[in-house]
Amino acid sequence: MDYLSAARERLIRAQARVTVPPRVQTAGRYGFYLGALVFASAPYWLGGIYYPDIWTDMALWGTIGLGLNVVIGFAGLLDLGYMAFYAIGGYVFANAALYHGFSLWEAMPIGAVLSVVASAIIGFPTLRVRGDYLAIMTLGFGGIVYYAAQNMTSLTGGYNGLFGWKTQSILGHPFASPIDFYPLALGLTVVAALVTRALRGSRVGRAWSCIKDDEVAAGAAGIPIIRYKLYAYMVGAVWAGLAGAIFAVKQNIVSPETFTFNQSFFAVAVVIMGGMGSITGVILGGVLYVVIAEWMVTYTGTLSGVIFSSLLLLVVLLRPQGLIPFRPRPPRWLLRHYLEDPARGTAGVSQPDG
Amino acid sequence: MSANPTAEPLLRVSGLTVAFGGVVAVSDVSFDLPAGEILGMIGPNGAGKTTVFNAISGVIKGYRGEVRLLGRSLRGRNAQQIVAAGIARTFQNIRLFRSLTVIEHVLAGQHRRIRENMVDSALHTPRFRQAEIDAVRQARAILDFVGLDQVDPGARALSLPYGLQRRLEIARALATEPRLLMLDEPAAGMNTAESIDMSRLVRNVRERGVTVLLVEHDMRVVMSVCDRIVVLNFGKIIVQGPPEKVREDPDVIAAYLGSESST
Amino acid sequence: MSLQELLQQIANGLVVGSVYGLIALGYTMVYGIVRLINFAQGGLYEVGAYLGVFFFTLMGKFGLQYPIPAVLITLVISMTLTGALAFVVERVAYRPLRNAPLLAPLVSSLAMFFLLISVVQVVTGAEPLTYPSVLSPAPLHLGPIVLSPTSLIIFFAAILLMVGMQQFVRRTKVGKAMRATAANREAAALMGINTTRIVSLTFVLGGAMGAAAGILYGVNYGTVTYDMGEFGGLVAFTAAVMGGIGNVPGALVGGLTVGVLSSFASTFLPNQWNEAIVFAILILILAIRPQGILGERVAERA
Repeated sequence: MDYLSAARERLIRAQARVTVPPRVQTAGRYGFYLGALVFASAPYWLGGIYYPDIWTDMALWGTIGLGLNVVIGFAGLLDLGYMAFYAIGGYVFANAALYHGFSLWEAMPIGAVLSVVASAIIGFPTLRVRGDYLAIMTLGFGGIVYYAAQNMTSLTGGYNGLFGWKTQSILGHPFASPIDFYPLALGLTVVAALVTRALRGSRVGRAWSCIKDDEVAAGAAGIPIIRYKLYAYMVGAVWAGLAGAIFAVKQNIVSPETFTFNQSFFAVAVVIMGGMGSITGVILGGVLYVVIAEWMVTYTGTLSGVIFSSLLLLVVLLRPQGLIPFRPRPPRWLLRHYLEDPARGTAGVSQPDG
Repeated sequence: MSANPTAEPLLRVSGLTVAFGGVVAVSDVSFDLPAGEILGMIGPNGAGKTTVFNAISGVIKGYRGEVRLLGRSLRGRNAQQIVAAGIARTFQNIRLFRSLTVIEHVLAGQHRRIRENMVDSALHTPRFRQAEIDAVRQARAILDFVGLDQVDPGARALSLPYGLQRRLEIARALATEPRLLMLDEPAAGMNTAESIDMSRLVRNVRERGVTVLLVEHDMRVVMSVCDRIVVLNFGKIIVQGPPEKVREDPDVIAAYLGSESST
Repeated sequence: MSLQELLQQIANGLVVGSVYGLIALGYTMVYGIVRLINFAQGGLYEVGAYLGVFFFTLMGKFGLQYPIPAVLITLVISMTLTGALAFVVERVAYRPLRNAPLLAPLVSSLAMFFLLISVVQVVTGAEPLTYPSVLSPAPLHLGPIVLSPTSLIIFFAAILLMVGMQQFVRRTKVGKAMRATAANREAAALMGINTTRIVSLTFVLGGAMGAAAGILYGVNYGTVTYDMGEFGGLVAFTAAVMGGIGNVPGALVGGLTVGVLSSFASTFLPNQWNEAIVFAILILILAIRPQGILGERVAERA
């Protein structure tokens, strides 16, 4: 009996070999970094007002995509009211700047915190229900924030919105021209990318993936499901809250029209088209959104909704994993520690590259 | 392995009754599971074995009767609270995570014990790295234990062959450091050699000090590893006792062994 | 509020609610069979309403004066066309994703909804359109309640359609096949039911009901707008959930309840908060009682 199982064991082992794949450090990889750098610096060598403005929009939509990616891509929750948090960030800044003399620096964290508080308040009752119900509830929440922006005139200025704060500045550097906002917006995108990427590769990110894949099995692994859904919702809200404040400063106005259901729908499209879970993918999604929207405003007028929904439909049907699919892999340094377990040594196992 | 008979058993199920919209799936089921034992639960299809599992593990909440772990009632606790109390389980139809790799399954099972907060996770602080390294070493020990030591830890779990997926599910459950491990048909669909391996793994689990509740159709496995067996039929316990007694019980032969070709 | 006002509000709410109930029927039937929120239903309702305007106007040009035949012909044509559109929606946005994870068909039906309302917006230039008034505006006095003849006809037409649909599902052979498919698709297929055809048919019937609701809404309020599908779709979805999603008579109960609730909300609160209140009610209902008033009959399987 023991002889038989030992043979079986050998067979099992022969089927799989432990390897850590070498890091792909090819020309293609460097080319990608170089291309990204050239693209990100474009407003500086293209100059003017138009390009820096467009690139700032790209950075803001990249951030929106990254934030919503935590909710949809990491945790698998369909949120159709995400722009509500963008609105909160914008209105909080406008109020703080207009009536309390706060600067952008001081108002941004407040907007982020209030976005998170709002996400906790809406998330607490909604995250217990099934995924499709959640989608509808977030749609309703987005609607409430939109109508509140229209009607709570004392806080939001109603249809006209809020405007007229003094020019913001950082270290004596005024935010006047679009090129002044661009580094700020791009910096936010980079921070959002790094932080959400770090979270994805941590205990929190694993918990989100488990919940996305199979809630019953996640519960059986001891993961507190509701709490982690709430975390995803709250972490996602942070980035919209911060980006909303920058957007307000850039536009010089906050008004309800920027936070409609359409905008939330576009945010979902950015994440799905870019590639759920993929950091590079959703940034690309945000960039593409701005490019297409800009192109369409210029050439096609009102067709934007038609083109966008058709594109989204095509992606879902033909390439459901998005333009840049996310391929989960544990980090290499972790795998190296796995193989270097002192108790066993590394003999018989293929070495990681140096 | 014999527990002190006067002490509270590890698990005590008393008068468990579960009904689905008027259909009684499990009726008045009571049994004790002392620490260190391997208890088998057998019965024909639809006898209510998985329902008992689901009630104990918190997947089904609306039941009558009591489930106690070391004297404390598990009523009203959700799945992860029951895991925290020390009960882990596997599923009859394997439930692994589509987007996770082999090693990440074990790390997910260790979730509650990895000491890193949100800030550590977001900034990859030294504490984060240390916590992850510790976790990965433990994960390796667990993978070695269940016989997955030669599997690529970075491979998608669903790319593993069927038998290894079952082992990975057991590894995930063991990673929660349970007192009680509930296995739902771990040897289903396996050939003779594989089910002998599985029996050995179940015994090894017990050697680690983990009590086992085993639902299984494969009589070779049940008869060779279980200290005691509970037989369910139509949602009720018809016999419980040691394998030799159960094997010869006329009711069991009529209800179960007689109806299938047994070994 | 006096008793008379109270009754009046209830009556108004019932009229609106019957329209919501019709849309909800589409959600609930599709959900019962494929376990999917068909977001496109809100779009189909809107398309139906606009097709209604088109055909009413067309018939006016041909000098068809008699209101009742005009309404009937418009209903039949628009329901047929919208049903055909729903057939396409199912083929394009749902069928290829039948075995995909839940998020995929949800997003594709959302995209479909957005596509439908965008097309309406482009074709009509985002301008509200006016429905021709088909009946004399002279109000009817029913005891203390005042209602226009139009609203009465709308109410009864909606109820008639819903009861008809329920009888269809309950009594006909096809209806029986639908119920079997909803209860257990695999088993139904094994019994020789062409479940693919049943799913198509369900989408078509749901779309047709949505179109009927759109026309009745237009006739009642006199105007249709390109964003009506968003609000109407949401409210009707709430109605479907309230009545217990998957439950055909529940759609009617849910529709009427939501109608009366929103009618009260608009009495007690300033008008511009109307929508926000309906959304809040929606969130509350989904959070507190997601299984609905009548319960989720179809999904009751062990």
